[in-house]
Amino acid sequence: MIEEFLNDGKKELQVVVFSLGDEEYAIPVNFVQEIIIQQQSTRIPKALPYVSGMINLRGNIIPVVDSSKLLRIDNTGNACPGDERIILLDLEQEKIGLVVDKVSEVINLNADSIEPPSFSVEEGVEFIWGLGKLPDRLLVLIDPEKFFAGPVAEGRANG
Amino acid sequence: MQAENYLNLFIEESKESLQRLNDSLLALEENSGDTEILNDIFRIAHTFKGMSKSMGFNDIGDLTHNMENILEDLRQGKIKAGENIINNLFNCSDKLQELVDKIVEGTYQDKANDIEALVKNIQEASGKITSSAPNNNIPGKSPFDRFEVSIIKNAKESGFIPVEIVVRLVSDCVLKGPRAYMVVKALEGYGELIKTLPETEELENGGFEQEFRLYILNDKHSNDNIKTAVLNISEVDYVEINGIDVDALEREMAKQEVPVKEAKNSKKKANRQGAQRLAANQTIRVNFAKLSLLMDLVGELVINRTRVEELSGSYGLDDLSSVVDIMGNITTEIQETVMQLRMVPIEQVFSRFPRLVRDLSKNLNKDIELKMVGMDTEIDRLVIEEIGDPLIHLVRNSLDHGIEIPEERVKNGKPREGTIELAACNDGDNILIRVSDDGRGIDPEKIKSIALKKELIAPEKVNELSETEALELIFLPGLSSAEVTTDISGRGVGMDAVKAKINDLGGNITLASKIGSGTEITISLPSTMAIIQALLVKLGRETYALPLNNVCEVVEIKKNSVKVIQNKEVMSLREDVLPVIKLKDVLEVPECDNCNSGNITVVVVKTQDKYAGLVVSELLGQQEVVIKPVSKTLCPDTIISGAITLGNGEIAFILNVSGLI
Repeated sequence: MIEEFLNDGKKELQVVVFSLGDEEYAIPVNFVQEIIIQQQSTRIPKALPYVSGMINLRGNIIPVVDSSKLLRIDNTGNACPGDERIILLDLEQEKIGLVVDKVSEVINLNADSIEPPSFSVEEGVEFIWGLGKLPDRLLVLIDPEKFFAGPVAEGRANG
Repeated sequence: MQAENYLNLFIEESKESLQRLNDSLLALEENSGDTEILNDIFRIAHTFKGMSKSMGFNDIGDLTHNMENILEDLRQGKIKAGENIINNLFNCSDKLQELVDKIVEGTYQDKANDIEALVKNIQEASGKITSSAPNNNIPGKSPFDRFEVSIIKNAKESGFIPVEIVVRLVSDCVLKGPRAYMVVKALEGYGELIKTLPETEELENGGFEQEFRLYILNDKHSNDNIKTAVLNISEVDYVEINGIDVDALEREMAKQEVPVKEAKNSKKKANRQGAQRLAANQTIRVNFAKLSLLMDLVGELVINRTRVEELSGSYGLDDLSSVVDIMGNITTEIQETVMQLRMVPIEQVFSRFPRLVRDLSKNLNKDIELKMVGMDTEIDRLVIEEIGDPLIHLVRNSLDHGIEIPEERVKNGKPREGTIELAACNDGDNILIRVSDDGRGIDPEKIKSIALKKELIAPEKVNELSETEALELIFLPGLSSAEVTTDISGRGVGMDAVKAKINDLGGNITLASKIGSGTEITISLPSTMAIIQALLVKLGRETYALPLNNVCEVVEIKKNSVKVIQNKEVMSLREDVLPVIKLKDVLEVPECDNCNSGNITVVVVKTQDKYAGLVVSELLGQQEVVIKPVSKTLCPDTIISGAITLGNGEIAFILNVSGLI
């Protein structure tokens, strides 16, 4: 999806902006099924360390992922309790919920304001595909399809 | 859109026809003179021809047309179904399979499928085609049955002359059917038509080579008149009129007294088959996705029934609870019916093996008989789709490595012909599938040494292995015991994949082997993957479900009766000693202390023939649960086989007992 966008030369990309600690991230709106209020999840024994559990959403059982652990951000306890949300992603492989500190807005990101990551991407965070530059903010652009591809598996093995 | 619908229908029907064609060809190989089988094959080829021509797949049409020709010759006894011909027919069936596959992939193109060579082979194999001079006599057996003979006799007594008219059309005749029809029409004026060869309907469809025969009761016309009348029809190449010797016919009838009975029987059989076919047609095709949706909905219904039952129980209203009971019964029935919809006989998987075994054994110069038992065992459609490849792998292994070449077998005092048996049966809620052979067996020592050589196992551990454990090394990735890799099997990428697949399906695989006398592999699978009976247990504050078919019994034992032997905790139950597994440790359950009092609750479980006692905090009871898959990416451990929602909306996990023990 990201590749398509990059190759097609489209003008704009609609993204959902969310925060983890002090940083702001964005996921293309096409992947997002819905955003729900954080709810108690059931622990899955022996699951990967960044999996926080399963929730029952209208009869569907959906795994929920702790995005700070998945994105390797150290921000424990930064969230305001009422702001926490679960972004439900509809990925090709499966549906997963992403727990985030706060969801702020949905914006149209101009293609000109997107830059490839200027730093060499650290191993295990290939899902960062670019940076969105806004007048006074910087958005880290996430490709959720890459969450479970390749090197994240390392985290799995280590975990 | 409509064309696409037809295409799907065509593909579905073609696949069925191909399978039947294959089966019938195998049967023909066993029983080359059987006209029933020949007729069946002919029918299949004929339907195929019709379908493909109407869909515009002319290459398939041409190929089946040529098959029809050779089959017609076989039917009429002009040629014998020798090995050459049967192999050619098999080749045709393969080609058809290939072409149908191409259609599925969307890469099919007419005139680009290289069928000429096959067609030529067929024509050569059939050798004599009707271009040779027509037979002057009624070929071999009399074409008439008893009834027809009596008509002929009566007609002759009342002054008619029964004659046989042999008509041959020119070789490049395009409209054979209509020409034949014109011949029949032309002859109407000369007497009553009593029989045609082939049958009238087929005749008018052009279902013959260049030549056909008509039998009429000549109403005192001269043979020459008749001949001229027929020859006046264009494209008629040759006409011959023979008298019929009624007395000879009668004598032959008398001789064939017994065969006639048989013929009647076979007619009855044909009728019965007709009835069966009718019964089989009382079905409709349903998209599997729709069925799955229905299944999901029924799953939800079952969950909510439980919820309603809980609620009505807590209100204690008699009126309500009786209605809830009735609804509960109906729900159960709906659920059972839907379950049955998904169940298909395992025959669907097994049916591909006779052909596979035939081809491979010819390839390997081995003499192998395939026995199949329990073909009507029913199994979930989802499982059926997944189980095919692992089974093929196992059967190939047996063929390739298991069964010895005939000479070696004879030398070892075994029958020349090796046997592979595929058997399926029900075992409680499980299906057992067994692949066994009477081949050379597997040498555990050899497996050990290969595992060592490939560094799949630490040297110090090797000697501790029991024979069974050594054999199970074969399921390790990268281990192939074949000394020579063939294109059939032996690349060592097999058995581990087989095991992984079976485990994914929630099943088990075990292997038993005796050197010199054979190998037996048993696969145990849940017969259905969607709804199971489960025992719910509590561990601390978490709930887990154990499939009821794994549960043997629940016992309370004293805490201090758990002993430690060789660093493993065990308990004794009657005469047996079982390993004890503390689930709270295995599942890393927080805040769980299951020994407040002096007693602990142990659920005794089994898989295959292994037993163990699972320590739980509390029993919640038995419930029907709908299994939902748990993402393997996020939860790679095999201990959890699925998730369920409880009546109160909470989530619980189903434990995979074979992953625990």
